[in-house]
Amino acid sequence: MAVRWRTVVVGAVLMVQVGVPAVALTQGRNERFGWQMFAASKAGLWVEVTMADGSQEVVDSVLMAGNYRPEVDWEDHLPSFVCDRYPDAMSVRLFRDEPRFNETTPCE
Amino acid sequence: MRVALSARVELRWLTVTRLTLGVAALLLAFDTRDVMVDVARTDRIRIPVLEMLPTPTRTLANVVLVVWVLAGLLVLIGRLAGPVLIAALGVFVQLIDEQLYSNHLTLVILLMVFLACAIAESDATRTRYWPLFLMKTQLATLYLWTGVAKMNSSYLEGETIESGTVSWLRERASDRFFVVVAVAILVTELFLAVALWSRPLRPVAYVVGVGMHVGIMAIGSLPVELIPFGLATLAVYPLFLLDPVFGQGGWPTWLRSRGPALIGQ
Repeated sequence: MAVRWRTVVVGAVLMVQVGVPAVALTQGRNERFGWQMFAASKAGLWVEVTMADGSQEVVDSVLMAGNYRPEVDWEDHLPSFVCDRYPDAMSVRLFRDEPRFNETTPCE
Repeated sequence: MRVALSARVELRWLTVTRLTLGVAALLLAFDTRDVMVDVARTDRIRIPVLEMLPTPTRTLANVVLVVWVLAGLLVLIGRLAGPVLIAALGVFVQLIDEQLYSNHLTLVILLMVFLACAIAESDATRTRYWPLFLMKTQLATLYLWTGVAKMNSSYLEGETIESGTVSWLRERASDRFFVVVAVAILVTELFLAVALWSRPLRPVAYVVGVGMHVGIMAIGSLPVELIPFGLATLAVYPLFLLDPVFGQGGWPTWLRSRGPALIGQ
């Protein structure tokens, strides 16, 4: 590889090595490619399912995941999964203490 | 910089790094297979990154394991196909499902890419320095950013370290112990990001770096994940002895005559 191309490749990689984790750090806790190993704890979400007959069931979301990674935006993905899993569900509430989260999504 | 990019180093000095990375990758293959099997369970959520890729199944996990192990063996014998295959498999796995992301796997993928470049740039006895330089900057920036990310109250109160520690220690040690360990790890990581490049500080960096990784492997609650990661980071340590711009540094006197030869252009 010519010196010029080597310079471009090395320069680009260095920018990625410095820049990507820097951007990840501004995005919040436990972002991908941020090297934020054990840097911040994030409690798992609890899932409260309200059925058509008014009954409720509370489940630890960890039990719905194959691998409960802190980098995954569980808040975005869990409601549709839970609605599919519980055919009688009317709504799904996700909640946790730290960082505080409490949101209810109706099942269609 | 131009000197660093053009310099050649004797290929045999990449051997320790290659073998250690190969072992790390082989161990990671089994952990990755197990996680893929868990993600493949039909009662669990699926979060594909690329919809076009196959959904995880036990069969796919086993196929990935077999190919990965063969690739790991190719790394051990220094064939280019080894690191290329492992990097490709690692990217493939991470694109199957968001739950398969792992910082440890990401580091191994990156180091395998640089190792592949080093092998591709080699002749019978020498290779270019620039891929080895990128391995070093990769490790240094990892230490820097993981240290910076730990500068928060949740980490400094010892909570995350405590939750990631083996249960027998968690039950016996005080909260203050985990605060001390948390601060020590943070300070060590920031120190390593700089000290590995410094000739006078390097011997101390080697001792505290190896001590930190061995300590984390010993007390971490997930040694199956932490051992490959520790090995991958330690694989890069010998390369800090190579410095084509300022010469070989950090060698103990008794090793100096056998240190990595820099052949220049």
